[in-house]
Amino acid sequence: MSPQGAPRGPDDLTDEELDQYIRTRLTLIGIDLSVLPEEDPDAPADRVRIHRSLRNFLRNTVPRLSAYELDPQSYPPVLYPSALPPVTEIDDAD
Amino acid sequence: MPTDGPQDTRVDRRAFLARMGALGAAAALGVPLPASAAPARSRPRPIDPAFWTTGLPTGTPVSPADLTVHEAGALLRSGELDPVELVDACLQRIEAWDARYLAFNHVNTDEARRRAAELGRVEPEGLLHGIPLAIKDNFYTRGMPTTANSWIFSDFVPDFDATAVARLQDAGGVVLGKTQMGPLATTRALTPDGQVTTVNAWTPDFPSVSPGGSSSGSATAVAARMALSSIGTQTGGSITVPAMAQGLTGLKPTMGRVSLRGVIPLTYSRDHVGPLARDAADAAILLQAMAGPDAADPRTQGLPGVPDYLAAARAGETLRWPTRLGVLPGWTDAEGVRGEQRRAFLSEMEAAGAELVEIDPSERWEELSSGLFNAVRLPERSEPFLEHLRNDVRLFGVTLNSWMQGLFLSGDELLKGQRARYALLSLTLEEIFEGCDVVVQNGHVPFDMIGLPLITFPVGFRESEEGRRPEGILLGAPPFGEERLLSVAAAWQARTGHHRQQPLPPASGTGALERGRLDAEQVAERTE
Repeated sequence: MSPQGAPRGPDDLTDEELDQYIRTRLTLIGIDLSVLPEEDPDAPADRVRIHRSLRNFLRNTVPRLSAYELDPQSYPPVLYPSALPPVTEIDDAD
Repeated sequence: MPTDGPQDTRVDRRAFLARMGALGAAAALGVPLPASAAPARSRPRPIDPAFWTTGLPTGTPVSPADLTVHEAGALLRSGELDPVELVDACLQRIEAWDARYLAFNHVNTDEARRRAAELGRVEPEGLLHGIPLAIKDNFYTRGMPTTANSWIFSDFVPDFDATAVARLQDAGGVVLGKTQMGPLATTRALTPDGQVTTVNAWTPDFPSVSPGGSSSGSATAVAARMALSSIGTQTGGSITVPAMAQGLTGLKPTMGRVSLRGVIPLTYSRDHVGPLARDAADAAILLQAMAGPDAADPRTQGLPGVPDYLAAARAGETLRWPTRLGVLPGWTDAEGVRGEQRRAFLSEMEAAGAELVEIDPSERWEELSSGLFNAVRLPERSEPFLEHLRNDVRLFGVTLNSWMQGLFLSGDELLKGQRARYALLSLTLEEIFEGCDVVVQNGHVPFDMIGLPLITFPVGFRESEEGRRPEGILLGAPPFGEERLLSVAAAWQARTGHHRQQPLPPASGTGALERGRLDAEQVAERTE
């Protein structure tokens, strides 16, 4: 809850909160961004740009994807639109 | 079901969907990838001798490198052309021009000549006997550098060939070299730190014009007549976009039609191998050589047999099969020359025998096709590279953003994306392919997401400040609709000549060129 008692949404999260979440997640899986320069437009990547990109992704993509509703009785998850031999041979006259 | 139509009419679409569901359940439990060491070989299909007699060149090529694969095949079979002569013609072009185009990462000069000489001593048998081919640099090539334009693979020399490459060589193909690409197959060809490399063959003095990505070098090598044909990979437009940008015929087959073994992965469930060719017949030859099951790639197994793509692409000025051509709302309303070309294409195809059908997918279809669900591919790119991300994130250069984003979707969001993909496929089969056999497309994303085949081919040109540039269209088909797509492209190409036009060599020579650089955010905007 926010200090005023209203529920908080993704837009209410501050950059600092998201940055802390990003650092925590990366630490959990062993990824170190400290090897990048803090801010250097001439470098291929820097920490400022990576964090900005990830904050945008977390604010814009994750909540919308999570909120999208699909009928639980339809559409089991599918990884490959192809097949495994034991379950899938199609009759093919050729 | 009938057995005399193209393969898409023999695939039970309900069974296809049911199969996807069953596989999804299996995949969720973890399907192991076989670790077979030897690439599978394709079963050779008997070649109809008549195919080659229709392939004789109609004009007077300046160099054998200007020939199409089927034209060169006819001359090689008649003894009027020798494989060494053909390979040397390509090598001479590369030597003369590639300092400007930068289409190649590695030129296989000595081995290509040796292989051509060897093939010159035997009777032509394979579909690609003596044909020089350019291979995108994310395909494993035995004893040859395979870098994917990434610092991660800068010293990588595989000890086996990707199945697709092995099959091309089994069919007599000669590997001319490895082509430039977007780093790890993400964007237009760049060095890992963002320096632009490959230029569009139609505008070689203007690096700001994209050659299309990420199979940029494969497209430029073929368009600039430095190789007769090439292969690339597509996860998000990487065959069809560069083919369209450079006046080529690019075919992304159905998911699983060509093995991905020995391809550096970008997204396991969306990576596809396909040809970037000069016309439909050449695309058919390459697909014929590569397609089929591979014990080392479960994505290729349990699918319908490989049909006769060569026959499909031999169509004359009328369509080989009765074909309903689906047109999306507003597709013909594009402004300027693009709209004129689209209307001319439909008119010409109607004259070729197509029935034009209006197709209007629901808002739900549009929603499921959007960039939101496109993002679900990202964890698949991050997972196989975790070791490298842990070692040093700097190895990813300007492409790091998307690898990092993939680490921030949770398991339930990944599953939601997979379910959405199944829903999109179901809607596509119901709302689009109940009403038509092929459909025009405004972009590659929807069919990339669900593994359906796409083809692009040129329909004209437009003038720009940088010079004359090709315009193409994109068509999609239901599962295993490659024959149908090839037959439509072949009929169009039999009635028109856009695909036979070729760019002029670099006007300003091959001297130094300021190519510019893309930064991480520009790469992110253009990433696959």
